Amino acid sequence: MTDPTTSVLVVDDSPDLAAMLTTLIADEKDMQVAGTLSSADGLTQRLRELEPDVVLLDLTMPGRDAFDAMAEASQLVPQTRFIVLSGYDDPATVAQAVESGAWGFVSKHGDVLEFLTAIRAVAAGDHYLKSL
Amino acid sequence: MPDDENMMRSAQDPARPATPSDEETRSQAEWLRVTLSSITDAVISIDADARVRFMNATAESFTGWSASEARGKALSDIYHLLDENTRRPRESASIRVLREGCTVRSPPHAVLVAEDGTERFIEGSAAPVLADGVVTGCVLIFRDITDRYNAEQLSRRRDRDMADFFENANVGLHWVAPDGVILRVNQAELDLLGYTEQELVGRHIAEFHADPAVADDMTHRLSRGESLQGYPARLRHKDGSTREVLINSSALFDNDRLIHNRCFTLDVTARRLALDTQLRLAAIVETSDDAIVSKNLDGVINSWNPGAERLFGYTAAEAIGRHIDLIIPPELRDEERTILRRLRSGERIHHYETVRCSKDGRRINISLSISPLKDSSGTIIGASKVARDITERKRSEAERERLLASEQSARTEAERANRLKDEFLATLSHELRTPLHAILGWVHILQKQKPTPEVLEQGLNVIERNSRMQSQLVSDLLDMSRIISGKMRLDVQRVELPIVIEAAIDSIRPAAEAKGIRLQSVLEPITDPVHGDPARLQQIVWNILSNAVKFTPKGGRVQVVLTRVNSHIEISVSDTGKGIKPEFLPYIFSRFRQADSSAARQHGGLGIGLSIVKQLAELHGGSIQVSSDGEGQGATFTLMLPLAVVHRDPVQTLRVHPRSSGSDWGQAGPVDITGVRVLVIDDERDARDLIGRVLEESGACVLLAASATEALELLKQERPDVILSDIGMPGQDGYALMQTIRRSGLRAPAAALTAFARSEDRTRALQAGYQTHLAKPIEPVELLAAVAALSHTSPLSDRESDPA
Repeated sequence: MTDPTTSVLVVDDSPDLAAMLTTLIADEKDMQVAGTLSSADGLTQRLRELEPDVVLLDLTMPGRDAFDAMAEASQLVPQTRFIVLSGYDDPATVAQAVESGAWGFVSKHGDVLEFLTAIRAVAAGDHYLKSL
Repeated sequence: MPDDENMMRSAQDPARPATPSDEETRSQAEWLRVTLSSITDAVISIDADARVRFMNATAESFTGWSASEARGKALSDIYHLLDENTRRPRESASIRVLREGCTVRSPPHAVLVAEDGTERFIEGSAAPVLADGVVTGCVLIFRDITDRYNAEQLSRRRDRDMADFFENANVGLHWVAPDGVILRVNQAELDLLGYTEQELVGRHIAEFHADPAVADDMTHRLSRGESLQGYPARLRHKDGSTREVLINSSALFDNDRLIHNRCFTLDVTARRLALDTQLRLAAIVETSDDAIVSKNLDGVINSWNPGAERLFGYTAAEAIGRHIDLIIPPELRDEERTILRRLRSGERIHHYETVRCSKDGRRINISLSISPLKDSSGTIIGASKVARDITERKRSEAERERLLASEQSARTEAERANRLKDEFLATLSHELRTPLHAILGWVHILQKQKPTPEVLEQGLNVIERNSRMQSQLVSDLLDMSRIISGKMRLDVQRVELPIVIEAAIDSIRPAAEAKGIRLQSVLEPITDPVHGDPARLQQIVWNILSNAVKFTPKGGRVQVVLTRVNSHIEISVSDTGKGIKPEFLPYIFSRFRQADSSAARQHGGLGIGLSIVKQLAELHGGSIQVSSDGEGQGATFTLMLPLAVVHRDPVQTLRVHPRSSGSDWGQAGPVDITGVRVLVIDDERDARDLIGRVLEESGACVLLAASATEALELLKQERPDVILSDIGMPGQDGYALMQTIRRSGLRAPAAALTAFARSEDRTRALQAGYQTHLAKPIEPVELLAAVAALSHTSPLSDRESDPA
């Protein structure tokens, strides 16, 4: 984390949400958008190519199971840290996310800008589960 | 002679001086001799030395000595006395007389032994012969009392025997005087009744009879000389209990005078109880529902009760003498051998469940209890078997198992439903939040900075799209809610299906094109009328199409086909999408069910769209089916809608939708309901009036009620032939109304009118007391046909009994 800006990859099948997230990230001085994906297909490969610091990962998407993809990528590309951003925030889902390698979990039920706080915390090496 | 003379003189008057003449003396002596010889008592006189001086003939006979032989001999030589009891010699009383000079009676029990050994019991006395105050001799006078003594002895022995018999008899004995007073009782009788002798003797016999009339009858009969044999009576025990007895009794008469009644009392209480028990047991065996069978140790049947006849089908005559194998299935013969072995060792067998065969070959589940039968010496000679038919119990157990399984299944289902609900709520939360999140995020972006026109347009588009998405979600939720509560109303009118379908295709086209999915439609021009709610029909088609697009990958194909098949219309939507797993097919139209409901599922959505589609299809009187060859094989949804039975002018259709399937009332053509009195109950004024008008136009007399209360008030005076009632009404609903009407005894046939045509609503209506169930709004022709059918065919009609 020598680079002062945190590069973030947004993975969400909703183009509207993805556009919102990238717009808000781009507005922040200490962050930049590494790219967007609409599914978790080929995630590990894209991480190796894009080398983001943080991944904002939606769970409910067509294609590859998001938990599986995160678990594999966490092993193979350990320098990238995952934050799950989901409308499902029940304890079982949060637990499964953490077990699959998530550093942070942000509920879509919370403040719309909370994910930015989570990105900073995770980029600084902290876990982020605050709003749950 | 001088001896004789002296003796006679002394005998005559020892104190008088001897001064008579010789003649007088001879005469007196002769008189004395004759007298002494003729009396039956024996007389022996002895002198002072106890030597015999005289003995009469009787004494000769008793001693065996003649007077002449005996004279001068010592008395002890001819006169041998023994004590009866000791058999020892006894001294003659005469010795004491000679010694003491007084008169002495002979001792009792004296036995005189004659010369020839003959023994006689004698009784007598000895008196002194005195001369001038000096004892000069003694006269013994005695008689033979052997006969009397023997008689007395016999009598005493008889008394003793009698007493012994009386006291020691093991049956009760009592004697009763002619006046009924108890004279004597024995110990057995006292034991029988629990009293002491003092408590019984002297009291009236009737006091001890439980039935006084019986005592009177016995006394009466005995007094007439009757003998009673085995006369049954009940005597009172001192402890208050009753003893069952048999009385043998006879009266003792003496010269026609009743001395007493003698009664033998035999206690048969125990015997009666045993007999009663035996009779009861026999009755139980006879009437038992259980089969009761006895057999010997070789397995040969000895007895067979009616219960066995019923259970196994063999009569007693058929079974007795046969081997018990008669009713044992061949494969269980070893079991019988084991049972016999256990019985031989004295073991009882309780509730052994097994199977037996009846005469007609049926297998019967039975529970066997077997006890060894023993003879009086305790030797086991056979077995008594009680067999109970437990077929019903087995069936009940199976039923209970089934119910338990069913209950468990219901619980599992309830838990599953609960889990589904939780999952649905999580899904709902997610589905509502996702667009909201996008909206809020874009609002933030637009507020935070002065957006460029491009950003502004993009933001507004996102907000609009996501708002619409949310609106759609809310609509779906409301639809679901309306369907569940039965409040869904259709705006039914004549529908041009191709137009409806095209509109649905147009609205889904952008989404399909975004995924590169090809949309094809083959729409047959349908000329037959179809009635329905065009917006809802479009919703159905859109939902299916949206589903197809959602689950079809890029480059796939979705095809819509509209065609008429026989009497209905089919709209099918086929896709080349991911298909449906066979195990999920049965749940595809269930509420909240999604093939994947996890957070990581690939597709969003509430999981209620297809459920709504199915309900809407059914509300239109149609149905929907799905088929898929499996995952990756695509799927085909087919909506089937009925053609309208009769085409009416659209103006006359009253917010109508087709009737539910399965109705018996839909008959085309005119119907005659002239004079039929119909009570119409509906809280909606327009609907009520419209139905009333249609009925009146066909000649019916119509009564209108706006509520259940109003209807019940009307029914106090009116007796309609047919009742038509809405179900969903404020206050008392149509179900409760009909239950009240039926409870009141009114049997007029009735039809429930409801907007909701699910099978459970129909069932509930029938259970409440309606004869039929009509989907509302209803076609006029259907309404008329239903009223006609109810009024003409129903045996429930009250018309016949009502003169009005």
